[in-house]
Amino acid sequence: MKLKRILIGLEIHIELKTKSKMFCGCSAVHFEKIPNSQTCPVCLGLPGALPVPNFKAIESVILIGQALNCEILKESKFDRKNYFYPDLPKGYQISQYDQPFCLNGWLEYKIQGTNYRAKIRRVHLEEDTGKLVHTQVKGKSCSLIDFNRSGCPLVEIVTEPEFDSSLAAKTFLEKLQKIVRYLEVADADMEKGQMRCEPTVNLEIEDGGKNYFTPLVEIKNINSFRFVQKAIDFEVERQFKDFEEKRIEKMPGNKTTRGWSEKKLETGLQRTKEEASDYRYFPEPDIPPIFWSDKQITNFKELFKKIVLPDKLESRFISLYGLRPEQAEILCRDKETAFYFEKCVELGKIKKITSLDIVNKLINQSKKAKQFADLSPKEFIEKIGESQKLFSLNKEEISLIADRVLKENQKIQDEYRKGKTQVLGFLIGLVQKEAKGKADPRIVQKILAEKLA
Amino acid sequence: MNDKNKQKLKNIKTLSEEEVKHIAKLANLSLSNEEVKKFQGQLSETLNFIQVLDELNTEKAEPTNHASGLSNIFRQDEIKPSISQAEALANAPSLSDGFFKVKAILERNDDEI
Ligand SMILES: [Zn+2]
Repeated sequence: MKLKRILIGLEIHIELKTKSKMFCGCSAVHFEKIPNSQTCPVCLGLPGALPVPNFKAIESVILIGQALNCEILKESKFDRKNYFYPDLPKGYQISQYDQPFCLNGWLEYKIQGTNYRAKIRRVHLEEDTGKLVHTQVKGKSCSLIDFNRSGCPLVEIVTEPEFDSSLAAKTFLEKLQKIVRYLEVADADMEKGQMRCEPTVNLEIEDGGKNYFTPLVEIKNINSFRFVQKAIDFEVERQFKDFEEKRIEKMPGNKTTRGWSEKKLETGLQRTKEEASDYRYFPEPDIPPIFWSDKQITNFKELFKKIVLPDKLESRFISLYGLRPEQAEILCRDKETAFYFEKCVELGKIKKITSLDIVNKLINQSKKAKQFADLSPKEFIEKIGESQKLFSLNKEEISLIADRVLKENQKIQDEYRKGKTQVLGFLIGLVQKEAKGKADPRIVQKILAEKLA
Repeated sequence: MNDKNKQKLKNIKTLSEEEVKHIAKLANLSLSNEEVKKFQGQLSETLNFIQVLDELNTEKAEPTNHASGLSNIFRQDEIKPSISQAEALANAPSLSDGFFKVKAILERNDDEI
């Protein structure tokens, strides 16, 4: 019996950071607020309330759709998804079924320098549920509900089941998080539940010249990128063993949901999954349909064009400022650092401080908990200018120190020569320490590289 | 009996017990065995009655998903005052510490979305 292929599809929910909720004027900022203090008849599902869609939330979804290279549908509508659960006050969730705002896209992500393309099936808008707390009151188990989150705008992104490793799934999710943050439509912090991911996993197994597919499993309750990987890896192993034992194949109706347990580091069966027809979707009668004019579609596209996305910024940093791809990637992890860097480069020109001086300082600093955050770009440039004046050691003096450091670290030298070039940074650090910071790091790097060659 | 009614009789379908139980589960209802039998008959009758709609020729009718004739109704992203916690909880059958309280949900951590 041989594992032929892992198939992973992702369903991602992201909370939008609008001021108000999706269909009412209650505040959508619900994290750690007094329970049930931000509700109204609409988001409590009281009879007679009328939901009215928040345009900003729709615009945000359409921005995400465009960043994921989707097509914007000219006709859209909301639908009711019917099911009972205590955190869903109306007995249905307002969602989108057959006419979501965006369809059929893709997103490229990179693993160790190689580009991969993930296909996106759909991007739609829906309302969040209330929050359940499972606890005990007076010694009796019960569940408590806070409806502050009820009705907050939630984007759902569904990919094709084409990721073939947990690393691919995780890398894609990190890229997606970076994009929604650049778009400034969401904070997407997984620990805070602002970004939630449910991978659906199954396997193709070869046995005796025949191929079999294991039943689909959806994994819930994952709240960090690290656990996305761990949960999928656990599930792959579990499904393989399960198939060896029971030989149950994928069939309509045998999809199940399993919950990831952080404590046990395993997934546990929650229930059998309902079929789409069980949700009895139908058009939301309280919300009229949406038809976009050509002009409105153009407006959405114009708005999107104004936003710089990380990929574009990285290439700009490489071509315009001569950064290495790794450096560009580090600087572009968040928009603030990237823009800070650009501002510094501009200011540095007058003082003859190069973009490479800035990037080195900035990357070293950002490793140390972003000390630069307290400095304005102008102050930062001044600081670099001062430290460059401090580089009082000449080449000969640095060379002597380098010789001493290399002699004391024969092992590391060997590692470097075996191809582990990243130890160079460590050696530079040692020389710098000996030189008490009085050596220009660029010269140290050059001298060390020459000596090690 | 005319042809039409004969045709109707042929199409009459009786829901199985399983189907009735499944529908009850989706509607969050618990039914006794007698009730399952009772609704098996009643629901089947209702379905067959509604089947009269199949006789309409809808080939040229556009699907409608809204009756008001309105479209593109939106609101700006502005905060309006919420009701107070006390008002929100006023009609709750059971509460605890500012929360609505319900029976313990057996499915651990199951956040359905
Ligand atoms: Zn509300």
